[in-house]
Amino acid sequence: MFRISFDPRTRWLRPTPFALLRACFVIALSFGILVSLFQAPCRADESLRIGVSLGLTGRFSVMSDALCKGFKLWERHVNQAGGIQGRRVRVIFKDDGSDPERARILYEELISEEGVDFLFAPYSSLITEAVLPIAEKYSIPILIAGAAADRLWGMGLRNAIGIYTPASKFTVGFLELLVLHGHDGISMVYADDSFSEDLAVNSKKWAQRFGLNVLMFEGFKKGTQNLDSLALKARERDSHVLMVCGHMNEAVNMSRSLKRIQWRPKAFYASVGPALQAFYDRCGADAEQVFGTSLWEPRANYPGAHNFERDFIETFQETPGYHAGLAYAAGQVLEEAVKEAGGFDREKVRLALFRLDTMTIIGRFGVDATGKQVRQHTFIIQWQEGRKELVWPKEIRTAEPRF
Amino acid sequence: MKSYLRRLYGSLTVRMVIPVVFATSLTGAGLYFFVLRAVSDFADRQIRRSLSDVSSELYDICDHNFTELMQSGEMDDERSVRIKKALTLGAIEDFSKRNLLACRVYEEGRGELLSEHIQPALMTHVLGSHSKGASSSLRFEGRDYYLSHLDFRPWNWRLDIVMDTAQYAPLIQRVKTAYVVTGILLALGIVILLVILEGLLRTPLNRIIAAIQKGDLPVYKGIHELEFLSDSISGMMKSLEERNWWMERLYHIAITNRGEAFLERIADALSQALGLDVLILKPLEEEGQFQAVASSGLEAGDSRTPRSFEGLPCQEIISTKTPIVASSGAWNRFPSARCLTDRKAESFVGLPLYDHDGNAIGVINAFGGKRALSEWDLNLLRTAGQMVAAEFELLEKEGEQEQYREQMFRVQKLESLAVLAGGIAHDFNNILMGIQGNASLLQMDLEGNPNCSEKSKNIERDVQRGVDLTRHLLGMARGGKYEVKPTDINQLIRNSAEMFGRTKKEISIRERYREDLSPVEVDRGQMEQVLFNLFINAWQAMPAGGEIFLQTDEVFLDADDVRPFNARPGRYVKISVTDTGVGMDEATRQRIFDPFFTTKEMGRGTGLGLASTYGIIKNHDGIINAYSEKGHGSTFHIYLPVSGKRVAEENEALPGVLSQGTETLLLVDDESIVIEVAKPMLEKLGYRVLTAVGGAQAIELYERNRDRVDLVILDMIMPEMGGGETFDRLKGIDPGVRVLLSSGYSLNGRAREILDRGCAGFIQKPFGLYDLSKKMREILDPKQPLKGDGT
Repeated sequence: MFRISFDPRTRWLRPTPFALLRACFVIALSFGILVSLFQAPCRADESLRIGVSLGLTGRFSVMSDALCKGFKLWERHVNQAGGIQGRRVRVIFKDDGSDPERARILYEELISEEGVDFLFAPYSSLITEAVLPIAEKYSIPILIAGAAADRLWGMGLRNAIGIYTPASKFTVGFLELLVLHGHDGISMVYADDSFSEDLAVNSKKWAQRFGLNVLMFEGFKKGTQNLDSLALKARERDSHVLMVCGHMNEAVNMSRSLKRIQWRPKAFYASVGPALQAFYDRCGADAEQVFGTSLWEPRANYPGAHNFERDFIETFQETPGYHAGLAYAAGQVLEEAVKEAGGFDREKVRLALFRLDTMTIIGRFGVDATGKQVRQHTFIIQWQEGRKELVWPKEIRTAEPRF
Repeated sequence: MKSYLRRLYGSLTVRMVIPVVFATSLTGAGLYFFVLRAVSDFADRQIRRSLSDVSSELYDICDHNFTELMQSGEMDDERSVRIKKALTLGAIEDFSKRNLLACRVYEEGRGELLSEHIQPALMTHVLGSHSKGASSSLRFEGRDYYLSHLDFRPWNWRLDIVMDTAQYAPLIQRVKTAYVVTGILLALGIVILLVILEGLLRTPLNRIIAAIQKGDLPVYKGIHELEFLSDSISGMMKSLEERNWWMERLYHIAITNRGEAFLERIADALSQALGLDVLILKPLEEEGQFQAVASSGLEAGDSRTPRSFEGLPCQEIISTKTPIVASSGAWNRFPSARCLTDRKAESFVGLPLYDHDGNAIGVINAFGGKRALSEWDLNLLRTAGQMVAAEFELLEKEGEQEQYREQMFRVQKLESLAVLAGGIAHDFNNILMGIQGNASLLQMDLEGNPNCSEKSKNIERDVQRGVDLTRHLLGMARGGKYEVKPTDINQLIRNSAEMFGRTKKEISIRERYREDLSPVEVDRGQMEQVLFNLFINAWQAMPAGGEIFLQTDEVFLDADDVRPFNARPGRYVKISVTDTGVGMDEATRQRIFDPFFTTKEMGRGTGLGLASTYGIIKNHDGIINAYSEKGHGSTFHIYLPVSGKRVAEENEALPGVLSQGTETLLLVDDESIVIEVAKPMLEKLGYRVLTAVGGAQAIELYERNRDRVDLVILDMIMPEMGGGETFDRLKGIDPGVRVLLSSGYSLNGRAREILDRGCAGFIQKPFGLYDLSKKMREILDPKQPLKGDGT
């Protein structure tokens, strides 16, 4: 038993045992509060959280949906395999309505409120360009599986990692086919979004390298439904080849314009859209002999591609497009980078991403010093008799190109 | 401001921080430039090497594609070649981007195939660099570029590769950043250093200093070195406090004690402070002899006997004025020192004591058990020694002052007695005057009656003895000189000695006179009286005979010499009379000039001989003192002021004939006995006599009888109107009045003043008929020279 003596003259000089215990408790509690204040925000679970905003509604909903499904399938696969280094993976999806401003807000929320560890970029170069500075601000690596404009890697960012070939290389295969088959006289039209513009500029450059003549090079406003005037111009220039640099809608609209002016060049190429079944669904017979660039084809036979296709069909009851494959590949790349980094430290993972040289279902992964993809290759497809045929590269083509 | 900066510069923090900051900054700056230069060189070499590598790789890309084309067998297929070239250009482009290169591919015949990131203006320089070889460098718009070019002959391609230093900019930037960070860290380090200095050094030091400033003992616990410092200072302060305490004690002793008490207490204090016995010795006049004036730790009676401190090296200390310090083995070193050997004293300190002139006037000894003597111990002894020496000096000075006071007292006493003696002599002279007068009258009346005449002469002889006695008294009295003349004192002494020597054959007189001795102004009769007094005194001190040494000299006495005797400084003739008699003790010597003091048996001496001698010498503004020791004879020194006048010749004495006259005299005297005796005497001589018993009556009588009165015999000392005033009034009535001044006093200051105012002569009472008649005729007979004032 303690005998507690209290002398007002010495109370501050000789603490009683009870006062000592109380002081220890207060100190421990204060220390705990301080430690908790300096720790990372509290999480409900220990899962690895990856945030992404997609235009699940709005003009990019089709491609965004495909990306979403690809992310989800990867999430399921990786969790089935035990997660990444023992941590379950949780992809947090947001719908930005295909609006860059909305996407910016959502990424701020993902970082500050959801406390995500890593980020996937949204669909389209337009929206991706808007959100990349946010990721940069918080130094969070962001894997870009839905944008290919070259300018994204000219922004001087450290955390933007491209998963697939940038726009500058989209048309190389098609131009090579033109040379091989002796077609020349190209008209290039492009939407005024960043992806489309980069694509057009680089296509023109490549055309010159191949010794091809670009007869017309003209842009148009993104969202323009009627492209008849451009089609007429191309026809007037006696163009043998028409190349449309844009997305799905631009491809469909040009196809419809060509039908309306009843002109069909020897080769009609649209950058994005023909690789998707939706293009054919929307254009029907007008989709015939339309060339397009695909970033992933199951027939390329890259490791895991068949399993992905199989599981995708099983899961979503549809054939996966290359967008879904890109999303899935982004997950694979992140998984490899974490393994390479030996942990979840963002800076270490970022450095690992820059060092990484690995295979995904869409081919080889490797980026240059700016984060731009340099090791992944594209494919050229052509709709022939209702089927999407792989016509380039020659070694794995399923059909001869038709002009 | 200046003092603030000086204080700031002098502060511990700044003194320590400035070198650290300076050294750190210097090192940092040196390192910065060295590393930056190294990094720049490294970057340069790296870029050149890298440029060489990428050139090779670019060539390999071209070569690889060309080889593939060759191996495909489609070299002659123009389309395949186009495709291969395009893909090769793409590969070159990718490679260039991946390696942050600017690249240009030029094909002869087709022109420029690829131009990646080369500005048109830079392109001109690039093209111009071809002449400089495969690789070169240039500076363009503030940036450094490295150029390389190569030819791929199979396709006639010329490749220009441009690499700038931008890729190494991050490295250099990192170095700079590292230095900024390092600078910040250094600054932080300095701040931490300051904090550490503040906490670990300055604050504890300030605590220590604050305690010292408050006069408290610093108490610091913590850092070992500072703790040591604090303890050391504390120890020193304690020691200092203890020393101060002892110093204060010495001071207290000094201001509260004097003389023997002071010396004893000082000795006690030293003994307590040092833990040693202390003995303070003072040298005696005989060399090597010392007197113990104070001791402590020693047995009181024993320590004071010379035997106890015999053997101490005091004489050595005094003569060499060097302290002797022995921390051990003292009793072996000075085996004859009983006070050391008795207690087997190991340690000994003997310090000389100095007076203000640096003369060693004593020794302070400390001795006892074995003890390491520190500098402070010696300082304490020195301090105490200085105090003791000061006390010695003070005591000596006070002794001299006491002697002076006694001398002054004696002088004053003698002067008082002289006044008394003068008064007595005056009155006695008047009485004698009466007796003498009556005896003279009686003798004149009884001429022819031998029995009565004989008795009358006996009366006159006794009166003469009384006159001699009053002469002594008047000699002792101040101002009593009769006839002062410049005199050759050698001759006077010689005559007196010869006369004395003839009567005292058992006394041998030895004379040594200075030949060129200056004259002195003396009453020769009185001076003879002085010499005879001294000769008689010497003779009486040598009952079995002996020697008298007579010596004259001329000396200068300064103010210090004459101050005790109330005399004036100047040149003096010195007369020394020394005998080889029994001498005097100090008590006797102190009183020899006192009137009526005598060492002879009752009835053999009056006690007035030396007293009158003293008075006569003082009357002559001289000095007389005596030195004597019991059993060693006596010496009397007489100092007489030198006179600038020439020696006056001795006047011949007049024959003893009574001079008669018929003139009318006015006899003025307040003493009726003088009137009663002098009037008939004068009348017997034939004079007509008017008498007045005071000044006022004399004036009245003279006014009425001025035509008849030929001479006024005027007493000097009278009540109401004295002789001086009466003389002046008489002069007022008749400026040609002839006045003979008479007085029971000798010719002193007042009488001389009256003579100076025109008085015709002076006669001292008691005067006989012969002297009176002679004086009157000198005045009344204008043919005879005036006598009396000696001037």
